[in-house]
Amino acid sequence: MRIFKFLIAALILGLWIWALQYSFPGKKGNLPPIGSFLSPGEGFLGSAEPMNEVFSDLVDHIPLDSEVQVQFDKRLVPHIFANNDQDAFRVLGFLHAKYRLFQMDLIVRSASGRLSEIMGPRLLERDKLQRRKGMPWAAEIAHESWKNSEGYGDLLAYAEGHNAYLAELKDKDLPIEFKLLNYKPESWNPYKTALLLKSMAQTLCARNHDISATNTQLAIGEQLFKELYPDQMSKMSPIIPKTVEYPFVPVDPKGRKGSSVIDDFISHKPLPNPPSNIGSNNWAVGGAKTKSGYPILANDPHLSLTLPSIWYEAHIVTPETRVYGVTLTGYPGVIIGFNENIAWGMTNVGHDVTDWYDIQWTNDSKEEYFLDGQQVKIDQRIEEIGVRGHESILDTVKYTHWGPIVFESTEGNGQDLAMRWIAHDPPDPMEVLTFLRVNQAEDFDDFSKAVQTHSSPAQNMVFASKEGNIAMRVQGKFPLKQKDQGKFVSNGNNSENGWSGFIPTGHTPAMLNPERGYVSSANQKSTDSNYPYYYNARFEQFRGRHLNSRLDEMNEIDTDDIRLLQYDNYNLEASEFIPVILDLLNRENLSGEALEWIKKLENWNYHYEAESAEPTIFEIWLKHLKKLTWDEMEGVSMISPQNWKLRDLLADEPAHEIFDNQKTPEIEVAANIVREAWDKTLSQVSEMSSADLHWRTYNKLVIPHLSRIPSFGNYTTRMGGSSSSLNAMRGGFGPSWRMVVEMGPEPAGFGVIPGGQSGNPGSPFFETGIEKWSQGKLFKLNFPRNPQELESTLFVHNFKPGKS
Amino acid sequence: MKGWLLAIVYIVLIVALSKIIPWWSVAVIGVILGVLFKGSGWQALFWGFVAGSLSWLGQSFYLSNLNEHLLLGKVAGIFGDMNPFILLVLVGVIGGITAGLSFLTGNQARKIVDQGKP
Repeated sequence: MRIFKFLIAALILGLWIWALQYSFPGKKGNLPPIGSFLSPGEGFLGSAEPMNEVFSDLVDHIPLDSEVQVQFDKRLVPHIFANNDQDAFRVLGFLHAKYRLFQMDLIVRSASGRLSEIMGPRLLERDKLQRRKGMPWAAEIAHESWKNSEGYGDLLAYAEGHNAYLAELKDKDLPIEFKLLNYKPESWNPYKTALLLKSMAQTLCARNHDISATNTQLAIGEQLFKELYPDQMSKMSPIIPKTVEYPFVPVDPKGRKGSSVIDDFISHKPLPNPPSNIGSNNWAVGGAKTKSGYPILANDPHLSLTLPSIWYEAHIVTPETRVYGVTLTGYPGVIIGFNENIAWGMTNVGHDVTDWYDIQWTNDSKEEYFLDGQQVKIDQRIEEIGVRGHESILDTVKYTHWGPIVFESTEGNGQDLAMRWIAHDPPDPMEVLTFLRVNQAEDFDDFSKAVQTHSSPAQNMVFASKEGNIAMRVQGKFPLKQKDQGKFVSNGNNSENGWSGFIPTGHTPAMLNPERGYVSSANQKSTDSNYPYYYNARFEQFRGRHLNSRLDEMNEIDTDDIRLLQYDNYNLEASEFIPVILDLLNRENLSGEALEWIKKLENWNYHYEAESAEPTIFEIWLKHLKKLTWDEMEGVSMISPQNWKLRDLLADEPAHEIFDNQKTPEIEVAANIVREAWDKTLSQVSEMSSADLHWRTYNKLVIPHLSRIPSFGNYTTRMGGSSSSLNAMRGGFGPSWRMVVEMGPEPAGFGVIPGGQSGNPGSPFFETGIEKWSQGKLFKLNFPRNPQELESTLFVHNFKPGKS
Repeated sequence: MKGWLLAIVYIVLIVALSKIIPWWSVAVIGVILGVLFKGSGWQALFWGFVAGSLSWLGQSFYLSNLNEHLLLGKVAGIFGDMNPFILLVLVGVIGGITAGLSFLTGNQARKIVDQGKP
């Protein structure tokens, strides 16, 4: 009897422990084992860092040539003092691992299509798409190429540091995300660095509209398409102005003109493009325009805002290098920053470097396709995708002359589209060293030589130096194209439909010390009509013009003026639309409320302030205007013209056929559409509370956590701005790093990230910068020459050579 | 040994060892201490629960308080809009049940041995 009682008690205890150890399935993947997750010894509270910690110095033994001292300043920015570069990279690898482990793991998994391994079948389609886009393949190609360069050792050193941290890391000290998702981090290697760069390429240079443009042109006809989607914009202020000449003989882009576009609607849904709000500003003003007489450089790259922030600030001091700036977790150097002699920054170029080709099979087995009259066999690559809790899935990706077939039709005779993407090409082996060399550059020559090995994603690289030079360089690998080539899906049966080569390095646009006294870029068109090479994209049309008009009129500039310019909420788009549409608006029978709003819009200064209602009214109005005007493009996978074209049509051609509503027998003109859109706006607005009308509510700023766990993100910060303002804040996108540097005898740097140095949601350093960032303020960046010079040290982390 | 004394011993051991031993070994310690307990099964369950919940709740509160409950609030947020302190209580209850069941199991084992004795 007593044995029986004992057995029951033991059984219940056993079941209880088992239940606490078990990872039960939840709505969004498996739940963490409750017992270990909640236990004070190894659970989530291990990540609860004391808010008022009295820091003590740390010592770690890792593989090094000699000792490295790291001083952390008050914002937890590391100042790494090492005796050689590779030791500094080892320590940076260690620190990236220590502070951003989950982020690094997620970037790699997301890029290479390995999310199902940790999150189960619901991510399978996403993983498959990453494989079909050839992401792991591209990273392998890059990795192979890098192996032959001297920079490869730097990547290995970085990985060593990362892995030395992992070797020390006990399960109970894993970041909370690993505990929640119940998996373990993997070691780092240079191939993963390649995946990181491919993931940046995916964000920044995979934008294309080939499928939707093909469908739209078929729907509305070639003539109207040409008119509504021109390459040249009516008003523009290109990055490299007309004053720059191109004294070279351009290379002939050979290839086949015309007739390569397929003439069938494409049923595949295009790949989701990165949101058009991903953009950036950078500029440099020469000493003639500044108060101090020294050049000032500014950069704010706009990316999807996340916690932790995409950037990790670091300062590296070795006998060869002394550089401050933001690093990407997974790469051993500073991507945007400054050293004693130069400062540099980047915005995205955005040229279309992703083209699509329709494959013509020889028969239904889809193993051979036609190319230049020959039958060519496809290459097959088997992708094994691990799925948590299930058997692995095998997916065959077919590779053609063009690249991988991303879209495969299920029926026998449908369209199979292959992707030609610049980021699939083997990079220069020295690509690894691009930014490491920039980090050490002493003047414009060094800088120009260093960046030549950067191929994708193409960047507008701004430069300023202590010597007083300012420069802008459109840097990347650009295909030679015939006019309109690559705008639409092309026939894949003729190799002449492809790129015949690349624009030679010396032929890419650049300028040094222009007479106007500044250089700038804001994702607008790279060059004016005098540039002899063809390229296409949907370029930004307002931010760059506003920036240049401000820089034209500004003089005696100091760093604070530059800071305020980065935070400028003025929206040129609104200023060009509003007078036109108010003029077109028929005011008969408008309610008192409507007239009041109109009056407010008339008196508005076009600033998108957080508390104003005018931006909300205008944006809703514009939304309805676009919907009503572009009703011709409503079908499957089509694309609307850009906003500037709408404004031009409203202003100059109010009787254009495009304003006719397809669903009514009457012929509408611009005035009808403007009034109809206004009525819709007003009825929408009348249902909104005055708080809803605040721009900050309509344009909700969100900084989600990478895992999308709502309580780990920041959803309460408020700021003005818009995607057409210099302060390009739109929903979940905005300035991911704001930097201003004055290049005096000692550089004076200022900067802020909308996040913090730590990736731990339980750390007081998780959201350090967000408040200042939302107020448009910057931190003074510490740039000590030696450990003694740092004013306020939080703690010192010493690294000694030895096995961890 | 008296129940309250065992509870104190348990708490001291758990607090001292929690960073070193895997979380489930609290059950092993509980069973061993349970063997030392002479009272009824219900009393074992009770003292185990008190010891287990106090040790986990106390430690968790201490860690979370230093963090000004920043992370506690975020983790509670994962479970809908859970009040962060309910999460702490939950931690206590789970620690309590674990220790309660282990005390009981140890106590029942003792009773098998005790059976033959007068």
